[in-house]
Formats: sequence, structure tokens, C-alpha cells
Amino acid sequence: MYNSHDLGSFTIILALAFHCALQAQQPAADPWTFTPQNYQDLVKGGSGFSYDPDSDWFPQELKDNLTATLKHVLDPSLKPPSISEISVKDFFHGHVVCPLPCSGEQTKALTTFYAAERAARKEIAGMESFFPTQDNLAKWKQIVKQDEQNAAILLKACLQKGCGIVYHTFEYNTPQGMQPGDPRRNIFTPNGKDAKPEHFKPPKEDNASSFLDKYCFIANFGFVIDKNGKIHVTTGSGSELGTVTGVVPK
Amino acid sequence: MKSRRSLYAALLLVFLSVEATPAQTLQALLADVKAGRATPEDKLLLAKTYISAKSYVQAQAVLAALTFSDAQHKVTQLILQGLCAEGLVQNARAAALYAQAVQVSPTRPDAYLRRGVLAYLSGNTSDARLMLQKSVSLAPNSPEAYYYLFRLATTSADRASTLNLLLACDGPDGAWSAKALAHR
Repeated sequence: MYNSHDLGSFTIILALAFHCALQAQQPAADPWTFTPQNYQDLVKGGSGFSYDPDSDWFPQELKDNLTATLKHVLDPSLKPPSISEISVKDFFHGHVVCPLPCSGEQTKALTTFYAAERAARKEIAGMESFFPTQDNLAKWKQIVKQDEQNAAILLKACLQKGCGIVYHTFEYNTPQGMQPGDPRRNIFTPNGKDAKPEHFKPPKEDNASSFLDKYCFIANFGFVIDKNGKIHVTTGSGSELGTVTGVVPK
Repeated sequence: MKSRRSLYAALLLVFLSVEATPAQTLQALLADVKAGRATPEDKLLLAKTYISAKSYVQAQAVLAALTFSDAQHKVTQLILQGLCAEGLVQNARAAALYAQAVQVSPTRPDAYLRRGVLAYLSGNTSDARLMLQKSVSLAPNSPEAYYYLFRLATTSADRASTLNLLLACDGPDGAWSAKALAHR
């Protein structure tokens, strides 16, 4: 009925269909997931991290801190690893802190920042309390841009000797059995040229936010890295990253 | 039986504020389940009772066998499953279950509350504040939400105003007020 030519064509068509079906099944690579392998490729290619102009509001001192911490957690010799990837699921935020007690200047700057934060929401969205969703992303972008300008003023007023950044990893992909206060996911990096990231235990094992009892809290920030190694920093510690990725985390 | 069902329904309405359920309630619920008399609502209460006793595996088993078509019961089921996951130190799973609860019913304050508390415990203070503020915008009398907002407040002015809101809804002798006052 069929000759060998027909069978050959049929086999090629079948193989192509199979290939297409496989391709369709594979999820597209998330452009905002930066893996340890991506970092190795970046280094092998002779380049390193850089900051996108959208992060110009973030002080150089803190950029240096973040870069040092990223290199630390992406170091393949770190065992056990502190992250699985840089993404909105795993490692994406830090908290700028200073030694206790907060100075009068820091308290004043924080009070001014919070008032400006509320005013920005009222002006842009008509309400002081704003909850971001995919539907109001445009307004959220405006609010976050304003927050970044206010945060730049706050950080300029507050950063002093002894300040640094508390980081948390494994945020929404926490390995089963890992307590929030596990030192693998709690890192403090002091500011300064030779400062090294240190893993620490917060005061309470079941509460990673108990670091707040140890420091004068200044500000939160979030970050993602694109495949070219460009770091994008926003204020906040999660939902604000939707203004970079275009997807408000659900 | 009818009056007992009414009691269960009332208990279910306040399920997250119930600190401890008497052992007799557990026995009665188990007897109903064994006799095949338990309604799906009874089973939700049974799961809650197990969670109060930190018997998370038993609670999970009860919850896994339930299927709800309406959003309100489904959200309650997801929240209870999230609490089980937290109890078993499966925080990634808990976060996913709470996020699902918010998707199923975006107006349930307890779904945002649980997401906010979990984010706070994980150290994601910014998202915790967003979730807790959303929760109190939907249910302004939640002492638990105000307690965590109080813990997140970083200036004395913010702490004082949040504490006042907490005291107003929990009273000075309330459990959440007492916890907050211990941290003042």
C-alpha cells in the first residue's frame, strides 16, 4: 500500500510532531530566574554583575554590599548552598539595618519617609493603603518609583558606621523542615569594602523577623537579576519587584 | 443533634480565635465521624481541633478527604491545610496554600492574615505589612493582625498608633494585647 518514500516522510513528520509536543510541554525559561549556572556562565564569559539604571536610587555602599552577598551565595564551594536561585521565589530581598539604638536623626528620617509613603499612595491611588495586583500595576509602578526617591533620601540620612544588610533566602521554596531562623537562610553583611557575609541565627528560631529586635531597622529592598547579569533593585521586599518583572507575585 | 450542629457551626465561625477545644468536643466529633453522621463542616471542625492539639498529620488526613464546591468552605479548608503545613515546617507549601486561598476568595481577611503572619515569620517584612494591612482593611477588628503590624512598626509613633488600634479591638486584657505590651 505504502512505498518506502511515504514511510520515510511519515517518520519525519511524526518526529517533528513529537519534537513540537515536547517543546510545548517545556516551560519557557523565566527571564528573572538567575541560577548558579547562569553566574558561572557570566564569569566564564569574562563579565560580572552590573546595575541597571533603574537602580540608580540605591546607594553605592549598599550596591557593594549586595554584590558581595550575591557572589557569596552563588559560590559553588558554599556547602550546603544558601540558595537554589536568585528569583522572586528564593533570594530577592534584604533589610538595611544599623546598630541600636536608632539615633534621633534616623527616627526623624524614618518618620518623614513613612509620611511620604502614605502621601504618595494617597496622591497616586487616592488611598493611603494600597494593595498591588496585576490590574493596578501601572499605579503600583508610579508608587514604587516615588518610594524609591523617598528611600534614597532616607538612606542618605541614616547610613552610618556599623550599618549593614540582613538577607533572607529560600523565601517561598523553603526546604521542608528548614526553620525560618536557620542560619543557611539568614545572612548579615556589614557595609564596608572588606566586609564579608556572615550566616547568623536570629533571636528566635521560628521567627526570622526577630532580627528586628537586634537592630535599628531602616529600609527594605528587593532585587532580581536578568540573564545578562544586570541587577534591578526596588524598594520593599517582594511585591514591588512586579514593577520590574511585570508580574505582581500572587 | 440539631443543637449540637448549631454549636459546631458557631464554633466554626470563630475557628481561628478558639485557643483550645475541649477533649469532649474531639471525642464527640470522632464519634460522629465513626457513625457516619459527621457533615463536612463537622470534619473541618475536627481538623481545627487536631490542629489545636498540634496533631497535624491527623488534621491533614481529614482535610485531604474533603471536597467543597463553594468558595467559603474551600478557603477554610486551604487555610487549615496551610496551618498543618506550617506545623510540619513545610513553609513553602503553606505559602502556596494561602496564596491559593486568596485566589479562591480575594475578600477573605483570614487568608491575607495567614499570608501576612507567615511572611512575617519568614522575614519578608514588607510583604507581611502589605498582607496584614489588606487583612485589617477587610476586617478592622482583628487583634492578631494588629499584633503583627505592631511587631512590624519601626518608629515609636507607629508602634503607639498600632498598639492603640490593637487595644481598641482586643481590650487591655486580651491575649494579643498582653503579647504586644510585653514587647513595648
